[in-house]
Amino acid sequence: MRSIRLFFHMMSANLRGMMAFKADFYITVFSGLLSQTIGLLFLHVLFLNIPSIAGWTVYEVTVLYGYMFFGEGIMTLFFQGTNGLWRQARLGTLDQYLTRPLSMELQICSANINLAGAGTGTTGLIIMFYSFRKLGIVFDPFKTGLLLLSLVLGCIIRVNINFGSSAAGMLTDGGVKGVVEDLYEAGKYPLEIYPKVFRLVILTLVPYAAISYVPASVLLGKQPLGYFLILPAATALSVAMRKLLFWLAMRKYEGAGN
Amino acid sequence: MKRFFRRYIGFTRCAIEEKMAYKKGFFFNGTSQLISIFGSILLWRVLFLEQSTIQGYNWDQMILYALITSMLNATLSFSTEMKLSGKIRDGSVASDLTKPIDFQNMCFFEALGQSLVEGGNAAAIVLIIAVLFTDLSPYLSPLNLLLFFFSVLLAFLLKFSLTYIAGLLGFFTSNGYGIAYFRQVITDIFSGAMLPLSFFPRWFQALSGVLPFQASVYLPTQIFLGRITGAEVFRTLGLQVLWVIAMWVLGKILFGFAVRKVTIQGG
Repeated sequence: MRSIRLFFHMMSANLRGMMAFKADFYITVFSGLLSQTIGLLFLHVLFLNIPSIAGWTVYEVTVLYGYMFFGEGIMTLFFQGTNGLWRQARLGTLDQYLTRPLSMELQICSANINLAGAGTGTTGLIIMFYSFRKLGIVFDPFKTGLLLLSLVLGCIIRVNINFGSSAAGMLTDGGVKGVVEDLYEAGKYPLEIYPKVFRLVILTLVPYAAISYVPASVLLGKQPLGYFLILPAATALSVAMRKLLFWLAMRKYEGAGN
Repeated sequence: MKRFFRRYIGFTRCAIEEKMAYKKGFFFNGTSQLISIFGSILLWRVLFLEQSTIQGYNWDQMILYALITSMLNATLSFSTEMKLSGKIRDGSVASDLTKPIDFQNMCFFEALGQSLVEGGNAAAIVLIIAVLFTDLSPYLSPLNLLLFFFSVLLAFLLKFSLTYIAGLLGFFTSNGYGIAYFRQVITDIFSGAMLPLSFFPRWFQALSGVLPFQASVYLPTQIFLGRITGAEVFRTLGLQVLWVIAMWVLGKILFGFAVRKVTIQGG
């Protein structure tokens, strides 16, 4: 309880800090929106020239985009601090966290706020609901429950991927972090387009496909209901991996010395 | 002429050395480019299983298009652009302004050094993938390569001017990042970096035809792939030359305004 209160307290401090530079603030939110729009524009223009991608029509693919944008939005909005972890370790600023009587995870998560996330997350929800309507998917209470559950679990996975890869970045001077960030794009397309080994990677190790493809393909009736179980499994795995990597990273961390 | 180069070439050399200093970063930049290239190869592979040509592009041409744009985008990268706007933000531009040299030339020779490393790195990756996944032989005539080389050179000069102009706008807002980001998005859309411009609706093609961005990416690819032939090639190169001159001059004019606006933050 105390953690949650502190979290929002620190976030509001971040927000005030950010609002100090008004022009910066608007440009950041705007660029968040813009970067998502360009992804959608690519898809739109591509589909002007082709009928489907591996059997997925345009609105089916935009459901995947929606899931990815939503998770990305929540992550950048509330957990942006996890991004810079390895950089902080290099600069030695993690020292100041270690001296405080608060959990490291809390301090890292609340270290930063990026309002571009608000734009990204909202775009995600809008295109998702628009796509479902266009596809004529009817939402009974059960399906609605699945949708909400998948959005929440997706965000948990997204944050843990980010946190975990940032911790791995501490162990490897940032390199791994960049690779994991680049793989984000993989979650925007149906799993069918990837080679078998890589499918396994993005379902388990770096489970971007579990965020988007797994729930979307169940909701769109492309996979049986049981397939949905991959999502909670991947969530648990990503939490466990993040814990392990963070533990390893903190054990290796030596501080910057003063 | 010789004195001119002797004066500026030092900036290029420094930039190259600086760029080579971070070996790991260098390696992972390559990885990042590889991942995005393989992503698009996988996407196109599935699409070409279902149709043999898309908008007149066959597999080889589509992959080569993606590879060339990837190479052009990696040259004079976002980080190079951020160095210019970073100078304005942290005020170190002040020391450059006191030097008895032309600021635009200096920026150009610095960007040239960084781009030689970035471009060389990207070109090597792209060439290997091109050999592995496509049949390059129809495009390797000396004439075609020569024309492509000139077109890429002009594209680079133009891209420098466009990023320089965007960097100068940072003088007016003090937010270099936002503007650099905005420039990149606009360039991605209108230059053909995202998809070939012929994939877009007609009105959009007309619009991008009168903007400078296509001359920095789309036109070189069209020359390489032989989609522009005969006298049209020279008209295309001429158009590129015009844009290079126009944007260079615009950069000069804008700099005149910018230095009057300059407010050094702190220091």
